[in-house]
Amino acid sequence: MRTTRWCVAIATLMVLPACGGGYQAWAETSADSGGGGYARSESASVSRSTSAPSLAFSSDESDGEGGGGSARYAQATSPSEAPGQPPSSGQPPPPPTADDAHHGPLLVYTANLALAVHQVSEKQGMIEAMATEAGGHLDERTGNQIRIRVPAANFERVLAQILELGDVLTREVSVQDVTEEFHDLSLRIRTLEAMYTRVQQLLTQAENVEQALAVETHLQRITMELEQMRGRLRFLSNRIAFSTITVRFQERTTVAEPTFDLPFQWLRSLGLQDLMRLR
Amino acid sequence: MTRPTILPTLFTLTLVALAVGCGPTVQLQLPERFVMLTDDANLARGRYEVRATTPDGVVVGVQSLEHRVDGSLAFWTEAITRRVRDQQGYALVSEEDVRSASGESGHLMRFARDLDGHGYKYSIALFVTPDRIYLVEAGGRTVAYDALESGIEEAINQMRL
Repeated sequence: MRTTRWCVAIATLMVLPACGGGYQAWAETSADSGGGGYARSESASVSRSTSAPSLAFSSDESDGEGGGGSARYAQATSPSEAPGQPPSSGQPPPPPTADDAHHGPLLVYTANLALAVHQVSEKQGMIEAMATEAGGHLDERTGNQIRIRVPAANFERVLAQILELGDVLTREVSVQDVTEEFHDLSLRIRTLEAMYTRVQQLLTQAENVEQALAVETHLQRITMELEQMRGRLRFLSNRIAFSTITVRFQERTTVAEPTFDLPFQWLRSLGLQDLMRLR
Repeated sequence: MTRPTILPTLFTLTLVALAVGCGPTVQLQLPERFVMLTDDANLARGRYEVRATTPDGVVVGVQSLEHRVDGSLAFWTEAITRRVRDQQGYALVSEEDVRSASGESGHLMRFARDLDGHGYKYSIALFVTPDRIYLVEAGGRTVAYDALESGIEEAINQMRL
């Protein structure tokens, strides 16, 4: 009976943050066994946390809204480094904190470019150098693709430099507003940390091994949840602080798509292949 | 007219006809490293008016095409760009208007692409008259082409059509 009360006490604590996901299911079960008015009022106060399904734990960066919110981001994260101004070479910007979420939108910038095939290796080297010069770094480099990360404040400048490198086939720039998710995560982490402390106190009051084990189990679940949220927050912070630019070098294909040909034979024989074929 | 008078006249007319009809109508002064290819095979049986090459494979070819439709310089520029850039995957590096020494307005397009791990450049200068379309193609590996590019473009500007 005493153990049952212990479980109810722990479960009541778990209801407080109403963190959603697996945690939420656990909390609902506990509430059924008499969570009390306190638990319900706490749930109400953080209900906003669970009402953001569109952003919660989404790692798909291509979901962002199009358009130019760069100035807004520059304001929010680094007022002194608006896009277009000289970069702070080699000085990566500080990752955003929970306080930044109160000052303005936190935006994740992503650009995907395709350039026509021409001096791929040299162009990749130049793009890598641009990233380094802007205080960013190389993320990935393969035979026909390169991905760099640059400080968000320098995103537009580096993008403009890359666009001048060659013949741009396609260009996609997306902006994802992660302010709400960032704010929610910060709030949930703080709540979970407080709960961890309270459950830890319960551990000291455990009267037998069974109670101690029950509390330990809950502590482990809280720890796991905390680590997941902290990891996601670190990921978001990094994505906000450093924009991602992917440049793909590609050849236009004439096979897959139907092409329109003017009825002039000489147009079809243009190109190096015919010109350089000597006999 | 007696027979002895007719024969020299016919001979002269034949020579004039040969000079006008069979020889190249385009005068192009390429840099010294080029040799003109005058055999039928390398002129692709009349497709090229002029064809020349350097020892390291920079090739220039000039075509004079009958202008059967009433296309403007802009029309043919776009047609060539769509063909070479959009369908063949060349990068259009730059382009500019040019003028031949004989006064025709033209357009120069500088393309580039990678083939088998090597960079190549390919330029097309286009001149359009009511009767003819003149097409100057020049291309080769970037390393070799870069050294000759200014000479080739100078030759295009000095070209007489």
